[in-house]
Amino acid sequence: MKRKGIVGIIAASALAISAALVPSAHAAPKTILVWADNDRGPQLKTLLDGNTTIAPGYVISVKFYSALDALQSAWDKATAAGGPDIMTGPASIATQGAASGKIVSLPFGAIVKSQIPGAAISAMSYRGKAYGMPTDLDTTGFITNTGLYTAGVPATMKDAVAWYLANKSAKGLTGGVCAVDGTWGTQGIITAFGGGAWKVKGSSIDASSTLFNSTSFKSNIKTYLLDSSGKSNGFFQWDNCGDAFKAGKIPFAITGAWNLDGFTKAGIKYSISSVPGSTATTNGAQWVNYSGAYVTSFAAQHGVALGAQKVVMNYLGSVDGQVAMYKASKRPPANINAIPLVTDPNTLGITKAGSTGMAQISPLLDDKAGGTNWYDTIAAAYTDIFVKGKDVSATLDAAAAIINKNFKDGSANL
Amino acid sequence: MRQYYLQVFSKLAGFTGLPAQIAKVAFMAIIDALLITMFFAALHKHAGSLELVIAAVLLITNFVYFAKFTLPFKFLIPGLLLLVVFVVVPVAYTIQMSVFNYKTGNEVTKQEAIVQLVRNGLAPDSAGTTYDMVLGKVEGKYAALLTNQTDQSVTLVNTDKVFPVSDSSITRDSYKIARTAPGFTPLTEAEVVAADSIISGLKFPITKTTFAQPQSADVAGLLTQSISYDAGKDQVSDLSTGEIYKDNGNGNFADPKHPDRILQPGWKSFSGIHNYTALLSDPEVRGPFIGIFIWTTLFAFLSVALMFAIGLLLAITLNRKIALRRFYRSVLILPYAIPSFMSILVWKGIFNTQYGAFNALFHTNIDFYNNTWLARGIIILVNLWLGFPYFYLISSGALQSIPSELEEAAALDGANPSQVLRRIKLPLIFQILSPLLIASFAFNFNNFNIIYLLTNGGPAPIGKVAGSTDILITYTYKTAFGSNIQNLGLACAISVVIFAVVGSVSIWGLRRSKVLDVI
Repeated sequence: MKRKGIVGIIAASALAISAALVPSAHAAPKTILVWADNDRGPQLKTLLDGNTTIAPGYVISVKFYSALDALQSAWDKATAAGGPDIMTGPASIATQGAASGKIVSLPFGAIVKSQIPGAAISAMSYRGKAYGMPTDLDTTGFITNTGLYTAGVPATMKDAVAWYLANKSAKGLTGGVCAVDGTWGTQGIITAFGGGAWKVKGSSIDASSTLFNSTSFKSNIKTYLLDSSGKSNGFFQWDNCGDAFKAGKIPFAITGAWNLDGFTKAGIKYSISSVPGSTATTNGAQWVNYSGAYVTSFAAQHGVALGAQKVVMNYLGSVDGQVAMYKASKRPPANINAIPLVTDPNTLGITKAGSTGMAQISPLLDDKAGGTNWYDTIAAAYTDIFVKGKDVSATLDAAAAIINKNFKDGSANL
Repeated sequence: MRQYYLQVFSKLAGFTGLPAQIAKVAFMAIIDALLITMFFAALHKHAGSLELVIAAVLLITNFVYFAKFTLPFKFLIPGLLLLVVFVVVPVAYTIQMSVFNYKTGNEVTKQEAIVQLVRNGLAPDSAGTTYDMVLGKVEGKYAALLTNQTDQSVTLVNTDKVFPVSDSSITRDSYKIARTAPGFTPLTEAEVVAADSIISGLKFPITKTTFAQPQSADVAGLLTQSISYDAGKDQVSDLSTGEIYKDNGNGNFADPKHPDRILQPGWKSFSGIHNYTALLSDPEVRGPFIGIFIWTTLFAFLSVALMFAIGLLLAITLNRKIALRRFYRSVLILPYAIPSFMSILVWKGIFNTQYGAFNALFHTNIDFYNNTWLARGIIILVNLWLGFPYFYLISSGALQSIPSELEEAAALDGANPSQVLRRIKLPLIFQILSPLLIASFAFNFNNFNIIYLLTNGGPAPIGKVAGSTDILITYTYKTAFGSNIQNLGLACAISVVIFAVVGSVSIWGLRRSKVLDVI
């Protein structure tokens, strides 16, 4: 009897405590969980967290991670148990999420299509279906340190090289142009020298053969980017060079709105322009990508699919929503009706610079049927050419063979 | 005997009588409360088998702590449970996943994949028609009062058919959106939210081939269905092209005429030993795997051998009475006292080609990280720096634990110091340190941090995921998480191979050293 009493006490105590702790399954309103990275998260938290009016009957909860990598890692492991109802992030999520069945397609109507650029919808499409609502423009501009280079903006990339070589020693320069965001950011530079991922024909692309080993690119590398020893002359920088730009040791950089505050805080005076091209009338074509919001397949399993779609389609894709996000993040909005409402000079500068860029198509660039994806392949080629001094033609041809395999395989997912 | 154990337990606890009983009850109540909370939380989140595991832990814990004949388990059960949760379950799960086709595109269940395929087979009509929608019921069935967003025309439809409505019979709000119609009973906001799961899947037929489907609580799109699933035949049809896709037995619906043409998403499917055979038969996997396996073994062996050799040498040297011995001993353990990740990053900076101290001091321009053998050499060097103090410490301890009588006896028998070292001390030291050497080999076989932080596996040839300094664990990481396209099943298979190698070497080493016999 004594033991039964003890057990009874324990059971009662445990149940009493747990009853106070257990979340009620019937707690109202239903929660729509949004995931974001450290960049967009704080802004989304301010705009959306606790909101009950955007999707009446639901409450929005924003959870953000310490970095994009951390968000990606959590997303990789996400299941219906604990996974988000709305995922936010770069367009590459569309490819991976659609293939894995974690996000659902969004059949956009004519009104949405009239407000969101076709390139933006394409960036978030997989096998012809749109999977994400583009929210903002992820692109870069050509940043000139006007304290170092005082003659405006170089007319061509070749002029920039010439100026760098002429002033390298006198000004203590450690580089000419810095792709602050790594290999992704080099697209504007290599296209200015005749390279790049694929040919662009009007509004369509030709990915049947990459430009990465084009004759003009090979020739221009040898002429403008290598020194007499066959290694880099220092102009082209892509690996952790951002600090050198902030230190005033590199006159030009290619990056987006997210780094401009850092430049200002470092005391750098700068201008933003389109990327100079190989001639005065052409431009380098940096990647133009979009970030977006995605409705996950978990939302239906959580019973909040309608609410999640409402938040994505009617708020995050709307002019009101995108203007609010632009004000918080300074990123250019994707909705073309929101662009005229942009007033921040840096945002306007990047938006204008982006007009000469080219669409970043993740199913092609992320494919690794050839062994490694576009970014890893070109990074290895850069190292071989500029650091190790390997033969330019052979290296670019080897890289192009891999890239062409990737593009052929990835084209099936466009 | 039981009474004896109880007395020992009481003495150990130093806490008996009613206060101990009350503390025990309170402690168990808290544990039970936490477990019950976790159980309901898992149940609420539909976390699969987790609730069963929690329930089992709850029952086992209570049984052990309240049954009278389970006294030894009262000590063992916390450790055993943690062992199960943090070792047995991950190992079992890894082994389980290694026999599945589990990669990007094959992550969900087959049922979930079918739902997604059908869901993603929705396409807007050619005009991209969208409606403002009021949800309600007509004739007892879910219905939608739809206002075309372009021309403001109104349609009333339930899940069976369209109902004729005249403009005069409906009422519109200030945005010209129809709000009421005869026979239409609008749902309240709470009703719509409560029925979200049902409503989001409703199809309101507009024509023979098109239907309106809610895209939120108040907007619908006019859609067509281009993909359908036939459960009886277990096949998917593309209604626009007439193509049929069948289960290819490898986690995808594929066109039987063109096996490479598969639908996404696929599902996680049983693949038997395919991931293991791929390690040896698939040229894309086999090449790097074998090379990495050899380098991993070499790296682990060289690391342990060098660390032990230098640690022992220093221990022997400082075991003698020499000047400033305490100072030397203190200095030698400094690398061990500094967090290893900091040391690794400092070393990484020292060998940086452009800014590193090495090239600056010697006026050289050596590209350490882009040369395979230089990069490997640096890894061994840095690992040696990080690890020799540990071996110095344990070797010192082992040396000091050898009875001096043995040395004195050997000296009396005419042995010189070198013979004493080779014939007496070293065998004894090996006997004492064997388990630590084996553990160190196992640790270095999986020494992720030094590779990841120092070289990230590089240099990697163009087109190759695996770099020259990758070891199996970093290669596994790259395979599993290195890019947007991941192969988790293959990574699990490599992990199992690592587990088998390390486990085998450990068992072999422990048996040869007979250290377990001594214990």
